Amino acid sequence: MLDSKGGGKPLAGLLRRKTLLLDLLAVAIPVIGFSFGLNFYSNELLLVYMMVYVALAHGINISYGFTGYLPFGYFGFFGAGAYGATLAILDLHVPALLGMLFGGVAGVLVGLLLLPLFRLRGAYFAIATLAAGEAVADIVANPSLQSITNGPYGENLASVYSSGQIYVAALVFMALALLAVVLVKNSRFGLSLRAIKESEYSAAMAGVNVVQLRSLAWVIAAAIAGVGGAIFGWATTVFYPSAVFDSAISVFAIVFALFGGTGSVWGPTLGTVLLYGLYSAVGLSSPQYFQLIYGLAIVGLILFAPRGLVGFGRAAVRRLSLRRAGANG
Amino acid sequence: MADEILRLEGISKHFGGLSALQEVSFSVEGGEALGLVGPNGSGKTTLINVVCGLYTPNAGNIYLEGAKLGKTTPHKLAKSGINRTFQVPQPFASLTVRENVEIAAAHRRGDGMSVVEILDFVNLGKWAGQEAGSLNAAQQKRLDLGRALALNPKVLFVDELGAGLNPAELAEVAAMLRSLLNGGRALVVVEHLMGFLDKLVDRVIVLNAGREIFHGGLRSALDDGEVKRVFLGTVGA
Ligand SMILES: Nc1ncnc2c1ncn2[C@@H]1O[C@H](COP(=O)(O)OP(=O)(O)OP(=O)(O)O)[C@@H](O)[C@H]1O
Ligand SMILES: [Mg+2]
Repeated sequence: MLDSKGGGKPLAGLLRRKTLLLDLLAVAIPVIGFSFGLNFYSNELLLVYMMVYVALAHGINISYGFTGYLPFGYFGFFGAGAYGATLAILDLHVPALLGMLFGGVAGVLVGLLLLPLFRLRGAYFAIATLAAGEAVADIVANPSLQSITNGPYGENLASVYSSGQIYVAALVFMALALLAVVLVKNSRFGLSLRAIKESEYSAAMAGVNVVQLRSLAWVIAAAIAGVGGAIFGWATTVFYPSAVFDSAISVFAIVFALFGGTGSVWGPTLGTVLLYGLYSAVGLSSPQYFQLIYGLAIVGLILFAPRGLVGFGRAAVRRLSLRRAGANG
Repeated sequence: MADEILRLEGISKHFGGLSALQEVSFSVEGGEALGLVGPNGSGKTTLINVVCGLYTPNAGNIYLEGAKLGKTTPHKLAKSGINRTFQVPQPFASLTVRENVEIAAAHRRGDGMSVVEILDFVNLGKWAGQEAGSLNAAQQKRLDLGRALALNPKVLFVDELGAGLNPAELAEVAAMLRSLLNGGRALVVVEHLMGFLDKLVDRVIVLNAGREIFHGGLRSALDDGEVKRVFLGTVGA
């Protein structure tokens, strides 16, 4: 038997350091992979979209994976980010790169506006955010706001298009989103979020400021979506409100995150690369089927595979080591 | 006279038409263990839930060290020194036993036992690295206790910690709880087992259908006509 008092502490410390190292690899490997991505695959726009989706899936990871609140209205932050950045670039004449930060700010502002929705739970919360996302879209696309947002006629960022800058921005953005997840996961903040997810009231009785921490996670997720929308808009160049305020964006990000496995740093990245890759390879001709399939996939994943690919991986490793232990003993 | 830690004045709580608590009043002093007894459904857990901020009372006031607690939130109550265990344990199941206690310890004001000391105290040192969800019910209840202790509470409510334990374990838990009275902490102990309470508390409050029907020594409670009737009634039912 292991001496728990003597061996427990260093062992735990070692384990923590090992998971941190693995988590950092889960940042480094995708970043390196996408840095060389253009050497293997020439569709630059698709790679930019994929990086944006990796980041979005990790936004879902932070908001759903760590707090249990599923934001179907995630596209609201995304669209707000696209428009926030565009207005900053076209009207305030900030450089395009800086404009991406304005996209993040726009996402955060919408996120703060939606904070009262946390009074709702479960499916009610998910649906309320969906309605709120649609509401933001309706406001932006409203013809009476044509002088500001160009209403339903969309925006044009051709004047600031720069494929190199866009690629680098997407890469840096993805890296930052991944780092944010590593920080959340390995911090007391992340531990507290997981405690809240398990039992909100017990977490509060353990001294955790539930409302504050959950709001912080939400705002981080909103910032990621905002910048994601900004980069998406910049890369897309000409976009209509319906392209950036599209519930399919939420559905995709949620499926990618759930499929890969939330609560981990690898999961949502793997989920995005595999499923978005598949979607791009097969689905371009008939994307509407993918929305349907992915919608059903959300239900199936939540019900039957809440830990996603990463969960299956962990279970397999556990079974193997158990079998080995059994063979030895 | 020792200092009063917690005082309840006229606390009432309704759930729809049901009066779960009706004008309950009492106080506990530092270093004192108060027993809270009553048949199933008499309002014991509800009382804890009200004091610990899960429910807002419909009437009445609560004072901590003489200061009235206004509308507040559970995490503030926890930090200011009120804590509890749960009748049905509520561990953070996917976190390790150690992490369960660490989270609470991180929010402690002032000093108190270290996480390692707490885990040893509640006899969970051996399981520190395990997921809390893998513990058995009795261990999970002790983990609740450890988590509450990590915040070094001035007053601690213990909800049926003895349920399901054998006599030897009960004696151990009673001794564990008694040692918590050192340093001026107050305990409110909800328990059905009179033998267990006898080792621990000086006074009891007996609730029936949300109403306080007795307040005094445990022995005299057992001789009280109404208390007997209430308990025999439920035993007979
Ligand atoms: N959240 C709630 N909503 C509605 N009724 C409730 C709620 N919580 C408790 N009650 C009711 O209040 C009454 C008191 O319940 P409580 O759990 O406080 O009893 P108790 O004394 O702890 O009983 P036990 O010994 O079985 O634990 C019961 O009738 C119970 O059904
Ligand atoms: Mg009870």
